[in-house]
Amino acid sequence: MTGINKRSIPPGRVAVHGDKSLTVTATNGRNYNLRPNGTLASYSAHGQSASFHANGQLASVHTANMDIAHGPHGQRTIISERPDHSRLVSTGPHRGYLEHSVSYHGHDYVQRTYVHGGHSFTRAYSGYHYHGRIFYNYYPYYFYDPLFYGWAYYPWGAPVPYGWGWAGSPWFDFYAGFFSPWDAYPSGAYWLTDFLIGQTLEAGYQADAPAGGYAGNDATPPGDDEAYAPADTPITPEIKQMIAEEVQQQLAYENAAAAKPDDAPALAGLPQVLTPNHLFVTSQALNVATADGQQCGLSTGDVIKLVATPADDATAADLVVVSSRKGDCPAGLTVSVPVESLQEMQNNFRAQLDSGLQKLHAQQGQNGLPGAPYSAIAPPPRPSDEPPADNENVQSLLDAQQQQANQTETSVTQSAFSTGPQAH
Amino acid sequence: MNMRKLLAAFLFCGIAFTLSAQQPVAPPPKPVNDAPANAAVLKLLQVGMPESVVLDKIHSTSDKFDTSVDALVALKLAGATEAELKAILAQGAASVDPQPAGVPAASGPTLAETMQFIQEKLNDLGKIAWVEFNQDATNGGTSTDTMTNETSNVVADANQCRISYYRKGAQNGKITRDENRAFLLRDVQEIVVKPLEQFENEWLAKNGHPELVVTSTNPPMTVLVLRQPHGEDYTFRFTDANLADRVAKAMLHAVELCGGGNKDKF
Repeated sequence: MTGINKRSIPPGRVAVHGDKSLTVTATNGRNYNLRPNGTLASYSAHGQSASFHANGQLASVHTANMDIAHGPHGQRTIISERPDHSRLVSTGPHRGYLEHSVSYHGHDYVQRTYVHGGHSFTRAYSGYHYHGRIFYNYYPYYFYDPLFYGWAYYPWGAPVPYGWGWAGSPWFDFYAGFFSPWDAYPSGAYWLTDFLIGQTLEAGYQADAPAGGYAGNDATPPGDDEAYAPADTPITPEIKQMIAEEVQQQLAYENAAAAKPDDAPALAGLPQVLTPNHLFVTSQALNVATADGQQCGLSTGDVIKLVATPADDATAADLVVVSSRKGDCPAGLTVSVPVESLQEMQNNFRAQLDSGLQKLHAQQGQNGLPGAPYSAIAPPPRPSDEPPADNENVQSLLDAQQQQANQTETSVTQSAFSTGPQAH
Repeated sequence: MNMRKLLAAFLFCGIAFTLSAQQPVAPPPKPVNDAPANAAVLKLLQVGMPESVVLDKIHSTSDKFDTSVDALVALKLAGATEAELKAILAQGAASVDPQPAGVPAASGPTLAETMQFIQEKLNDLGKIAWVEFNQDATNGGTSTDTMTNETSNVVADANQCRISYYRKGAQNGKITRDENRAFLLRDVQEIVVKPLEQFENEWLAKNGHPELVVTSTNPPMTVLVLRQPHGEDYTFRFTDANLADRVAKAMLHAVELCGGGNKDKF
């Protein structure tokens, strides 16, 4: 036994279930669920709860104002709701975002101020109803002339050799064998595909890189209720080609949305891509469940494929893991992913595509990229009407949240194994 | 934390859209490549090559240049000097003759169809209103102006290659423009579409007020500028940027059919 499993469960009333798992109801309203092998699966009391992996490491914590989730490679995501209803999300040490609603020029947005590696930037999202619920759709920085979208959409002629200069970068070395860019690009859609996968992996690197985590540790076999991939299943050229076709389709959606920005959620949002076999690239660590109740994790850059369009009242969709890293959900496994998480992935896809289009517009004709016809690039990009940057010091809020999460995790664990009276 | 509560907090925002199904969209239009000779010059201009080098390249090329209005506008936007444009016209003039007024182009709508489109779309503009948000860089002070613009009685005459219209503008209720205007398409030298705040800021800077900045407009506005010789501008304001682009393309086509554009002769 390791981690939390070395400690004794307080005495209490024991219920044995059909699968030989146990529920222990102890003093002061504390409840414990134990796996058939005796390891602690979860604990709850007084509105707080925690779940644990079979190796004894903490998987998640839930309190009245904070949710903490640990990813397969040690990533920790912390979500807090603040008194003003804004939401603070840490996706790793010194990185995350503050999200709040804002009204600007007669439009209502959700704005996020991100902090990554000491830099901060904002992204705006506009809300829409889908299947009776509210989702938030990424709002691009710029809209371009239709001919520019066309230039990125259609083949360039002969494939264009291009070097990204990523070799030697820590993030690129970290994902060596899992992701490789093409040497040459037949169209802008292919170039944008490598750009957006590269940017997504680079952004996720700091969260994924820390050693540790519960997965991929050969010394600790998974529990029956957990699934780990024994090895990487890389993003192959065939998978990238399928993503490139989706990028090409998204360019058509973006062109349609650029013509009618007020209709953008309908023309370039998540509902457009909730079709069978659509691929999603995971944008942050996520714990998911399989149909038979197993738990596993997805990391930044893992690719999953939608099985079927979710039903009208569904809050989650079934997706097959197409590529994943060692310790994540194994390739071929079907997992259930909340629709909100798919919206996050689609928003990241569009945000990276937006950055890629800006780079393509600025650098066409240079660094080996073909020149676009001037009819395509002469009209200047139209800046979107989005709210001004947030003035709050998000970095200090995130640092404070990390400390509060440490205290919360300690407090919940201590209360679970306390033998004295429980204060609450 | 109760996520439902968080979502409910956002509900007051009055979200506008309700979606239920995938919407089919058409692929974007395919751009036509620049003529090879134009592309070579554009590449040199893009990296800021000296005028003498660009002129040498123009004189030494055996390829024909595209000297259509679109192509010349593209070269001008890329920074071509008057001497470079004249050299290109001289080099390429033998292959591209301007269409006489009223004659249909080799491809695309006729002049009559194009002028009809322009007339309809400009008359549809009617009276529009917007708010401009301003900032004074000298003291950081901000202000807003409520603006209106009315475009009416637009007549796009294909026989005369002439567009006439009535324009009335007001700022905070005070009338600033009230006039009938007209111009000949063959006099149009440049057609530009840009965000209104950019247009306004360029005008303010040019007229001695670089410290005053229009930071944004609500709704976002787009202006179509038809530039004539001696810097005279004819402008049309749009709330729909896509429509502004479409009318600009129709104007460009009409100017070409009417023999307009850069009229410098060798």
